Amino acid sequence: MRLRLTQAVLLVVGVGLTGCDWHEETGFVEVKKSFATLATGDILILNSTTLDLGARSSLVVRQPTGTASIQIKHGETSRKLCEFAVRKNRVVTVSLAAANGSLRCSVQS
Amino acid sequence: MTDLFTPRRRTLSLGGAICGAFLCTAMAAISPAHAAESGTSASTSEAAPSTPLNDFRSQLGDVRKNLEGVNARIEEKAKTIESLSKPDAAKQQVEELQALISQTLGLVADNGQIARLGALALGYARSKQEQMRNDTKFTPSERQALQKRWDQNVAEMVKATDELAKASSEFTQLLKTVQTRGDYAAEVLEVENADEMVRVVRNLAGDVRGASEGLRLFIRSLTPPES
Repeated sequence: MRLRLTQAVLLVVGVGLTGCDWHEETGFVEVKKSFATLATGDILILNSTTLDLGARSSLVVRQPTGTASIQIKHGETSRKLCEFAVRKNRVVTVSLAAANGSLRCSVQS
Repeated sequence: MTDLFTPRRRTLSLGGAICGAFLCTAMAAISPAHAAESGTSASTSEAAPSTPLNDFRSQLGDVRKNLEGVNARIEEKAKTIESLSKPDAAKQQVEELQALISQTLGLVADNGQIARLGALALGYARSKQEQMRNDTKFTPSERQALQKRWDQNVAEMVKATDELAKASSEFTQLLKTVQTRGDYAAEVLEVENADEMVRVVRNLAGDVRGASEGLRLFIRSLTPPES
């Protein structure tokens, strides 16, 4: 009986949460690149978002506040380029440049 | 329609949860009736079929209206800032201005809804362009006419998505200006020079007005692709 009551309460709360107007705090990450193209098979990733710069030199991505990182992924291996804080209603600029055959990352918030 | 310019906040309460639960239950309960009714309403909306292109056009039109509205509010905020005399009020106004610009930037950010719709619409237009190139069903003149329309459509879509990227860049610059001036004002306040802090924030109003004028011109040039 108690188990059923708990299940019912959890169900109501669960359904209620999905019906709520949930807004998380967000900021923005501006990613700038000063290199022509990535090496074949390399993919840039911001947290879990794939960054497709294409022919563009920059893009702006909304992100939840907290710690974020940019990684470069090649096949199964990935390498973290930099880590930075995303703050509420603010822009953090991440510049990516090629140096000595690899990518370097600098952050300005 | 959702008010995209309401300040973003965490709104989670037991009342909200219960309210959501009741609403969802009610929706589930009335859905069969709603489905029956929608049979008639669907036929009335058949005049404007929902395609990725139509969705993008309509959303871009809404975004443009919203941008015009928010630009007017940014100008109002600049006016308010000019009349400030107290550091606390100045700090609050800068924070409110940051929130206002952030909500707008969220609209045109590269992972925002409109950018995603734009990418979908462009993909759709390109697939139709390809389909017409490979078509064997229509006569050569019909095929050529359709090809021409889709070529034009793709060109307009590319222009519209480029304009969105430009809007995103413009609002990013504006937000960076406001946050940097706000940071400087906070530093000045920390070294206990309240008058200087108010002066810095008032000067910010001039920067914002300049940017706002540029944005107004830009927003006018933001045109949804033709049907």
